[in-house]
Amino acid sequence: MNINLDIDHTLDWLTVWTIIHDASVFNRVCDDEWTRKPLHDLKAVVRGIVENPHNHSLLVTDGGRPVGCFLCYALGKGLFEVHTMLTDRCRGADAIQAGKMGTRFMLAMPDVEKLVSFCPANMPEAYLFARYCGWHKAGIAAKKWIKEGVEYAMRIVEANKQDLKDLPCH
Amino acid sequence: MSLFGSTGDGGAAAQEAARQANITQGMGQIDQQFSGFTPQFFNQAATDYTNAVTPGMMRDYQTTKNNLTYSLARGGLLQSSTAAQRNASLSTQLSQNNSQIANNAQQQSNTLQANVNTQKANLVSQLESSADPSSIASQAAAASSQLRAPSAIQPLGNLFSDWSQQYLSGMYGNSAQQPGNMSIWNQLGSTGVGTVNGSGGSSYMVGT
Repeated sequence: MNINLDIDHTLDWLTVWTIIHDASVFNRVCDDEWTRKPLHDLKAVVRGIVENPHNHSLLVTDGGRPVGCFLCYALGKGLFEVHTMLTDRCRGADAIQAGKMGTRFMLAMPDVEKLVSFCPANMPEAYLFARYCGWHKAGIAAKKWIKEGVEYAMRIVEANKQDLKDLPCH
Repeated sequence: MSLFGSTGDGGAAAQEAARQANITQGMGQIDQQFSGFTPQFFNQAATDYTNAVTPGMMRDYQTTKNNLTYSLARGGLLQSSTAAQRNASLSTQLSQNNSQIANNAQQQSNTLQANVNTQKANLVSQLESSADPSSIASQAAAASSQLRAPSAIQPLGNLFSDWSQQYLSGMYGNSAQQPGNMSIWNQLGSTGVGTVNGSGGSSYMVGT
């Protein structure tokens, strides 16, 4: 366990973009269509998400150095869609620790009732990660994740304030 | 846990892109509604103000000038240095009043510009929050229409009243008490302001 990991809100979209654009992250968070889009468009979207006061953007740092982020996109009525971007400087046990910290951080926010996320079948480790962090499966998304021309199903995972009580200590 | 997915589910980027498109559309509608608020529009607002209040001020000026002429004539001072000095003073007052109107007009224009900027900023803020271009379009139209409506102009009152009070009231009062001897001498005596040049006996300085 890395005792230097920390999580806090950020409005620094450039730092978030740097993490998303990291080689160890970028290809995992873009489907075929978005991979082909100009970086300028992606940057604009990231900036919009980070600067939108309805959303929560959390920066994960290790000894003050950014190693990942969670973007929590407001869907309304206390529901937030969570996107996890952890670089290769925060993997394995550290990633799970960061995932638990991020989940607790988000569920402690007064405007957050429930978190939802999507785990494409081409990345089974994403689903395992979610389960390790205390999330539970909530179904299969109607839409597919398209990567390199192949359609993958997406598991829906959720966490709510009740799950927070049951979240195992890290 | 993907971010940039093209589908609705699991693709916050797609939702964000749609939101930004809505905001861009709404911004276009706000800009369109506010496109008329150009520097020329604000200059015209200042001109309108000036045109609205200047005629009244000029009427007051003419009345005051007439009163001054009557007063001087009653005292037999039409050709005196007093007459020259008071006419000059009245002209100075006219210049000051014109300056005041010009300042008020600029202030009127600045206030209108500030209101427009505030309204626009409020609309942009609402748009960024709601990302609803149709709602913002109607609000922008209403705000723009309200801002274009002619604003009430506060009447300035008689800008020469202080001058009249200072230069004419004393003359009327003294002439009523001492007919035939209405002059600056009595005013000077009553206010105790000013000096008399005794050497020539023809030059007066009136305290202001």
